[in-house]
Amino acid sequence: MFGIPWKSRRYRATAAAALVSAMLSAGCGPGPEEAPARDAHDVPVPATEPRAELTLTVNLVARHDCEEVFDLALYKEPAVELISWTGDAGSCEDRRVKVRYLSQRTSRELIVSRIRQLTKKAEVVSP
Amino acid sequence: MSRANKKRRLLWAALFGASILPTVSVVRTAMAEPEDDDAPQAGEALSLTELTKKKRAVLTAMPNDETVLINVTAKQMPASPDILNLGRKSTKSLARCVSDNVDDHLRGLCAQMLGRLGDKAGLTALQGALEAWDAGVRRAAIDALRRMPDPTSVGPLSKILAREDEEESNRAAALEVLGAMNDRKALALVRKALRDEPTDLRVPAFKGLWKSRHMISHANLVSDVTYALGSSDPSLVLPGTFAASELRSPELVAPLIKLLSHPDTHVRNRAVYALGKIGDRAATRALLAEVPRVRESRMLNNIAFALERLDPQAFYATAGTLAAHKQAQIRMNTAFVLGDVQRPEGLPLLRAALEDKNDTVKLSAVRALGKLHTPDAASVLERYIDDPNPTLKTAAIYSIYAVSGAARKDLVYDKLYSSPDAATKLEAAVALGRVNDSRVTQDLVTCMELRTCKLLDVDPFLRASKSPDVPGRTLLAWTKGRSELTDLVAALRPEGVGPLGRSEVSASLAHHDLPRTLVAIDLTGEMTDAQAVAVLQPLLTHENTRLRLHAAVALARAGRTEADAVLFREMDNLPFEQLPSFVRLVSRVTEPAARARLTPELSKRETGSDAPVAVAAAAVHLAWTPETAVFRMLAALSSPSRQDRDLAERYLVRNDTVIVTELLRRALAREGTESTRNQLRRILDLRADRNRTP
Repeated sequence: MFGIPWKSRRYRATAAAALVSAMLSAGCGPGPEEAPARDAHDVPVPATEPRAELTLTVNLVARHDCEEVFDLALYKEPAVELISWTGDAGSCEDRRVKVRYLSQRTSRELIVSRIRQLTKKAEVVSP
Repeated sequence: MSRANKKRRLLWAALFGASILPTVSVVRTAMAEPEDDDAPQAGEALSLTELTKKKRAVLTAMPNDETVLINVTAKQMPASPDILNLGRKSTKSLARCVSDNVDDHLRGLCAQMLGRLGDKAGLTALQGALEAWDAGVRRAAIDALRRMPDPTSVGPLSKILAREDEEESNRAAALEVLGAMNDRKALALVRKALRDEPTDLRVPAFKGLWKSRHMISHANLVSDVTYALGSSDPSLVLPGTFAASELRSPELVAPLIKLLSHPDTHVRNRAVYALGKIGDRAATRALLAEVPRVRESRMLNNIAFALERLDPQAFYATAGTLAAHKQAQIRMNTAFVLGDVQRPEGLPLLRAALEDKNDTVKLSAVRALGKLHTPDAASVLERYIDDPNPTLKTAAIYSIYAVSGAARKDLVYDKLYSSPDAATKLEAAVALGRVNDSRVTQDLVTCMELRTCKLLDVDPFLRASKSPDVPGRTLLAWTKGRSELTDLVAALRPEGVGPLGRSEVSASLAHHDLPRTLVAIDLTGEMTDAQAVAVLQPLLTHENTRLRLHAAVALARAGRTEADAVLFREMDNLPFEQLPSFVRLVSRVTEPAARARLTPELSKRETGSDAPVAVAAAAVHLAWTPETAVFRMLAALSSPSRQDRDLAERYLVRNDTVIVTELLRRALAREGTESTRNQLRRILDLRADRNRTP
């Protein structure tokens, strides 16, 4: 679409790796400490694939880079597509976060459960 | 007048005459002697008008006559901005200048221009110039080749290293450039130089090697960085510490710990910083042992951050000791650091620091409490709301305000905005403006007009303001020459902005005020004003490239398809160094119809073989549709070419949107290739550092 080598070996290999990984993990994904597989990459997801969104209020584990640490851990879930934060960017407490995910690859419950593992406190706001 | 006075006057006149005699003589000589350069053919000086005409003629001929620069003299050579304005159309004549002009200064200048253009059509001439007799010409060619890495340059650059009579500075420059060539043979030369060459060449060799780091195995890279860290030359150790911060390999902890006692403060600081980034607990003991010896606050902060990252328990134990240190400076820094790490565990120590007899320590603790984001901090601070020390009182109020998440804005309004002190009142108004408190509208509009506050601080407030005063007064300030308000005016869309913008284009053009013309065109483009077409259309053929480009973008936004072709023709012809400005300009296009029209041509360029143009096209896409465009940038970051990687990094750091930060974090979490992961980490760090910088 934008000159990305969609049909390249790298694209096919990484897309296949992402698919296998998604199937095997069934949305559970590796933990935050686990490094991605060698030569794995972030890959585009077709626009036609269904997405869903989830909004929560969370208390993050306090440290100066709490938001980034949370993001890096949650993005290990291949089904998590985008995390968006609102509110005071410098704070770790009482933050509102919206998570967009690929609803055919995981479930809302699995995402909420993973977020609860990664935070001190998490409350679903919607849906 | 007495005789004595007359005599004295004559004496002074004689002395004055004698003193200016040499000057007069020099001026006469200068006026009488023709400059040789002015008269290469006619044998007599060219007048200023003739010289200007000659330069103009040379410039006009450059795109069509590749021989035109062969016989020009330095005086006849057009100015660099005029040459760059021709873009790549000047490549051939510049290449012939490098090859065939006999003036070494001009050859060097032409080589430099070729580097700035970045057009690979100039490669052969530049590679040939590496054999020039003059060392300055060879140097200019080396520097130009750095800007257009190509494997065909490896051989000629290697010869620079082999020449026995080569200047040391040229050999150093060649080593760095060889490292950027993405070539195994070049890499082998650079690695060998790191260990075998004299000390002066080891630093450029290391820099070159670091440019090739994506081609080196982890083990070899660690070995090379360890070698640099262990060097007796501080100028090699320092880049080694930077490399260690990016590499984040636990194997580098031991050599970094040794540097904690290095005589150079900068090296010590960077070693601590790198240890913090690596985050290996093995460094804890060494860092703790340093604490009592530290004499600089920056070093103390770096140690604190490193400890907080690798062993929080040890950090708070150490902070407890430092909070009771006999030196007030260290107690003050400890409070500062406890605030910056933002953990609630710091609360007891900061509460204790409030009892310090030293006011600066107390103040540092009050400010630090405001960063903890724990409601308990507010209750500790309440007692300072009416403190007789105004600095302490102000800091406490802002800390309470921060801890409350701006819920206590009335406290700022009642206690600080009401202050008779103008500076205190304005600071409070700016703080209240950040939460869109309409009570401070007049203060913020006035401070925008009088420049008594930073535009960045009040811009979001003014954009969101419902006050009818804001758009008109902002436009009025813009018409008085405040070009930095252009985007704000465009967002506010005040009544009358269309005709005013158009008139400003015409007026500034008539006054030859190029910068002002460009912003007026941009503003007109923002308005997508149909009536502006008549003013902008003729500018598509203006002699100034930037003017043509700005007009093309404004017209493209207004739906004028004839501007699209101009836009892409200019993009393909632009000097390499001007592509980032092009990206910024085209990123302004927000109209869906214009984006849809321009996208096919941009996409074509993204897959082209010209790396700077391809990555620039991808960067425009990133600004328009980050979620889809980020993958092309990630492909560039994983490219075998260092140039692709560096260009992608530059554009990813420049794009300051929140969504790009998120997309980079997602990419980092899923990236399995170490070199790409390191580069993503580095980009995220650079973005975070930029956001921290006020």
